Amino acid sequence: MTEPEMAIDVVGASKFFGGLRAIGNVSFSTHRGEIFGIIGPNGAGKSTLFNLITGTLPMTSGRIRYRGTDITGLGPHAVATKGIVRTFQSATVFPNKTLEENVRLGFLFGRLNVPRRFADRAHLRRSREEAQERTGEVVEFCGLTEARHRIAGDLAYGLQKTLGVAMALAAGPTQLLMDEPAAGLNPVETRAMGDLILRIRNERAIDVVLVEHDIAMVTRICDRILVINRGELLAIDLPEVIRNNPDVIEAYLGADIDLH
Amino acid sequence: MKTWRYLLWIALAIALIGWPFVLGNKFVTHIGTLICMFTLMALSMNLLLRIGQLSLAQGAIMGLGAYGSALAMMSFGFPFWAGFLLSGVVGGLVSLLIGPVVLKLRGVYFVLLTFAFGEIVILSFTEWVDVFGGVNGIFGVPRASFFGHVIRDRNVYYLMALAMAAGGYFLLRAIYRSEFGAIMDTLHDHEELARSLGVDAMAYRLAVFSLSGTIAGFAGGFYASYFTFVTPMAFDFSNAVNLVVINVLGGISSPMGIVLGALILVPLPELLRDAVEYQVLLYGLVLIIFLKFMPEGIVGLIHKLRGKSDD
Repeated sequence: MTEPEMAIDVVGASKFFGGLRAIGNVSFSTHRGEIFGIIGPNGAGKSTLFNLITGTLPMTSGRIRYRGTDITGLGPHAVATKGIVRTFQSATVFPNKTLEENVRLGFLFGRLNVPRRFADRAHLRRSREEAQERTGEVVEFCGLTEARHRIAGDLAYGLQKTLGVAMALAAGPTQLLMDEPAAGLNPVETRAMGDLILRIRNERAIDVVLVEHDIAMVTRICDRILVINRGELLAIDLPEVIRNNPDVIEAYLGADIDLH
Repeated sequence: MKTWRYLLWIALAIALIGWPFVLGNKFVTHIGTLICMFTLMALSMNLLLRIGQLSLAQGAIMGLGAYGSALAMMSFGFPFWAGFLLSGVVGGLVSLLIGPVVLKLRGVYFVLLTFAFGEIVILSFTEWVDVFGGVNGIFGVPRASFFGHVIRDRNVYYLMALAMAAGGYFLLRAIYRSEFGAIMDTLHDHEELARSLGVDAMAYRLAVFSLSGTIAGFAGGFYASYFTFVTPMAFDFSNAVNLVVINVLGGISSPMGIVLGALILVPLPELLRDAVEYQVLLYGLVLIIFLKFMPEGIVGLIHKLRGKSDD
């Protein structure tokens, strides 16, 4: 059996806010071709861990590698240009532009070479045509074709969240980081979001890491799950093992969450 | 329809170029020149407001351009064109140097830090008498000249100012309509989203700040050779306040708004010569009324009346 190829490799990550330890010496690796879930009770440090990987927060100590390249200390835009693109917990779109324009900007923002666009008109035309083509493809992939001319700010919340995913896809990631993709969605929308994430991995060969509250969704679509509690790593395993892990059940006791 | 638009632009251009020659009134030509110069300055401020950052150092940067050009011509024997070119370079270079520090801050902190920087520049002009001539500034700055021909005709200065304002106007219009403009808009309200998609926000802010500084520097270079003197007080922070009032009055969202704002506000001090103290009061009222009831300025009002929302 061959070792799985590593995608994100976190070594000894710690984060202190003043004297408060939010993340303490957490190490784990995600694999290529994997949907990797991060769960934990409220205040466990899920969001902090997420923000360390995206470069939104600087780490106190530790290192992060992505596909063998050290990305420790890079800012959000630099992390994005390495192929790691994030989505947001709340619907985050450019509200005054149409859905299609939002996706087009997602495509352009990662690749905009401003000096070349001014100097080389042929390059400008090519890149605009490419953007148009790619935009249509991503919009269709996410099932947003019908709403593509509507103003993003006027869309229903569920559509806005899907649009957020579409914009991230347009930026051309090899790794998607999703911050609570099901937050604020109803059961039907949650199911559709889960299916979309599966298709993103299966059809576009993009690896996915997601932080999520909805345990049912996580156990349905994730290949492996990391459980974090009080800033420390509690377990990493297959969903069915996690569900029956007594430590995990203990951590969630009183949180009123049914793991089954 | 398109031909009509074309003809309208040509008619406007002819009117803008021709009126001083027809009217032949030196004072009105002077006002026209000031309007063009402040339009250019207000456009430089508009670039910053567009990314949500209000700089009170805009007058000081203009002053650096003005002093730089004056000293280059008087102390180092630069010809006018080189001095003028230098004024833009100085404005842009200084912005490029202080940008990485000041642009780390947002909102009121950015405003205060740029205010402090502006005061340091003005203080240097005032106190470093050997170089900058102190409170009295520098007199006898050479007039503009082209190919050895010294320009004394006011109408020509007006045309120079008009060309600069028009150049700034069309440059900003082109930028705002491009993808660079789309990124600028997102830096204002959705920086986190833009960064997550790969936009190097700091690099874009720095580019905008430097472009704004270059424009302000050029305005200063023109100022020096038009008035033939530069004094510290001409470049204090009240310049920036006036520029903000012009932007708010005309409308921040469109370069045409800036032109309208300058057209209305710049002649006021001349018309209110006998009641200068009321001028500041008027500015205050304009700011309050427009920010409260017409945040889109005159341009927004025109759009509302015509029932359309874009340019």
